[in-house]
Amino acid sequence: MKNYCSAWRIVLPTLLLAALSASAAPQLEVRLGFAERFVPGTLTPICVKIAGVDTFTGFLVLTQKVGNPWRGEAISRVEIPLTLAGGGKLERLIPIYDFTHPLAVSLLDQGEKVLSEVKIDLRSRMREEAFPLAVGVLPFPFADELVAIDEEALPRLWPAYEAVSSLWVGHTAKGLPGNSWEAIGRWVSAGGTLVLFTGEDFYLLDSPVLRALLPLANPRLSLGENGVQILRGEERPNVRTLLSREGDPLLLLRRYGAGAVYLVTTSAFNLEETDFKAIAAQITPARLIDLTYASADLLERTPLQRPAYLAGVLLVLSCLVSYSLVVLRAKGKKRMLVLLLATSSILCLSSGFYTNRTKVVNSIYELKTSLYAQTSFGYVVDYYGLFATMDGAAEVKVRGQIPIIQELPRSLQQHSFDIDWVEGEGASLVLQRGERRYLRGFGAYQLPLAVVFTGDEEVRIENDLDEPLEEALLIVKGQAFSIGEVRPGEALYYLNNGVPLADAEMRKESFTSLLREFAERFCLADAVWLVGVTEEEVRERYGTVRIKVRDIALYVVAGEEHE
Amino acid sequence: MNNRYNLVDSDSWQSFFSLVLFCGIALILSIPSARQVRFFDKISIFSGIPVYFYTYILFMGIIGLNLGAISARRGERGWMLLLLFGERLLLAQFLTLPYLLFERAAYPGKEGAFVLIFLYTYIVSFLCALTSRLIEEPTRRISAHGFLLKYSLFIVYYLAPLSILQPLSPLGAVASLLSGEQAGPLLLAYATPVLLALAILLLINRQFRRDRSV
Repeated sequence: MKNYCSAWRIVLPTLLLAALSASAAPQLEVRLGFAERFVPGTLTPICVKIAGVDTFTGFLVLTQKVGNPWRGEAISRVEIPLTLAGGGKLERLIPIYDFTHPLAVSLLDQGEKVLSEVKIDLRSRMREEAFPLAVGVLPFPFADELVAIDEEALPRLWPAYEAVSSLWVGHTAKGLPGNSWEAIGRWVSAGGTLVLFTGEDFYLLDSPVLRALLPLANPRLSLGENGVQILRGEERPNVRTLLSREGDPLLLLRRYGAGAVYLVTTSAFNLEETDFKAIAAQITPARLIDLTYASADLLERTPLQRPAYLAGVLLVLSCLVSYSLVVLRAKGKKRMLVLLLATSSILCLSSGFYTNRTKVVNSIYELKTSLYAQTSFGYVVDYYGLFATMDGAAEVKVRGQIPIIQELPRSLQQHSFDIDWVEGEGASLVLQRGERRYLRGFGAYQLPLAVVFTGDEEVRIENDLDEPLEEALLIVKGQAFSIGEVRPGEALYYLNNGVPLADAEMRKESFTSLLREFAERFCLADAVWLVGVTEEEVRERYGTVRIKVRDIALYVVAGEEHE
Repeated sequence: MNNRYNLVDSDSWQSFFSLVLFCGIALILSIPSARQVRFFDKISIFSGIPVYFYTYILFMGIIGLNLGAISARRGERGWMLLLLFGERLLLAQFLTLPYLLFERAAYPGKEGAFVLIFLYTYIVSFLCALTSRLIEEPTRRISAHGFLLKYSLFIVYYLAPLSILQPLSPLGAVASLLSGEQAGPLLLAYATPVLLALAILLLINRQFRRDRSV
């Protein structure tokens, strides 16, 4: 009996302590993708709820193993510093490259001790291709691969929609949240496809973003022939009617930036299943604007910095001739020594001065091509091309809270494709000699540039950027006018000697190739556009790794027209 | 040329000239030929090989062998022998210093490794000079046997460890220094020529003492 008592004295407090520690351990609840669906190789929305902690300072680390022993393996790690009070909810985008291994979501304290960890199975959540996404209620599931979510679950960051082939907005209870509209607007401008069912649901959805996207100006509801509410208004330029019903347009298409807005003029509930199928047949899937090809080409054309052969030959000849002369001509032991040392010192100085930083071979060449597009919403897409002339680590700086995503080749055997991304710091990766690596980054950005087409041949540009636009074109209804440099401040520019946009050229070949690739996808045919380019070269150094960054920015701004 | 001058004379000048000439050729070959990223993969056979440093350590070794033989012929001994080796090898290093500064452009951020290579090369060439002196001493003239023996040892020292333990070979050590390896292999790289040089120095001293007693 005595033994039992003493045993309970030990067991009971242990159990109590264990229970206490279990209740104090933070708990993680993770939601991934759109209704738990994602497409590998895209930035995927993730929502992490942290419960069971009062105050917390540490990190949330998301680790994913990519590949397999045959393909080769790599690790992608995203680290988000956290400071929480009373638990919290975190919404982010993370790159997901693969589905074969689970995603580990870990909560770490400041000493990097794992406090809680959840492993998310990706295999069951994976979709091979971008899928149509429905928000709100639609009466007919028009496609097998359709994913439906409610309006509150819509991501607030536009790159999340990369996994979506078309976004269908049906009947919603309260319309869409404002910041989701902003994200949708940016996504559409960057190449997304939006299908809007309006009719009597229009006023629930109505928002400034919707008005900017709509193919109709001054929209209003009116009764159609068969007594259903139809959205009518003045068609904007370049709007096409794809389907009609009883004399009224049923489906209108407007090209918006690189994307498309399909407007169904009536509510989804006024349509038959056959109408849905007819509409679905008209929808072209989203294709985000992509300057990867032009950027990769520019990277290949990037000049490599190195000392000139002529300088090397001159140095060798100078050494041979001057040393020989000293040895042959100098009389006396001390004089010869002094002259040899003096000659060598002079040659050392010349060599040192010549091999300044403009002649030094850089370890890594980084070409960053940024596309800043400004319609009613502004966004930026960054393309990073990295090339290594020697083995070394590279750090890529990225703005904002959105991680960058790297293009992975089929085989991961040749090099290390591990990538670390720390929020607020940037990405770091290791490159081997001769290796090229391509990455993409996204962000939301409001450009401080305003363009007003004031009349016949006059445009007023207000440039509040810190730097001038090195070269700019004004595009008025498909005609391109070169206006040269646009300095900071406000100025008037006059339009002379316009050429069709397809024939437009810029001073630098690199700018022209970017413009061409961009204009192929982005609708510049209507309205007034300013297309400007800047180029900057900077040198960065991380330890012994010397990086030369060539930063090309392409600015595209929609102008206003004031007659 | 002043033949009495014992730092650079007609015998040793040929070695210095060869060093400056061959290191110069290697320097030109080490300049990357590609002007643009797209041509990087199509460049010369020396791409990725520290051709300048290999030539530098090779010819500094050869200059050490030559200076050892010259010293044996002149009968230089004691502290004077070490001092003259030190001075001559330092002069050889100094003559190629403009190349080293030029080569800095091809290896950015490796200035520390350059200093270590400079020091390592000095130690290795000193070892070669002492070895040559030890081999040539009995005849006090450049003999065919001595020549063959010292160059055989030189080739074995430079090439054999490459397949076993890279930092033991001067060529491997230079590559390790440039790639910034861990302290262990670097310590081994330095310790090997230092210990060998001390051992040879002891043998030379014993040889001198034996000669004196004879």
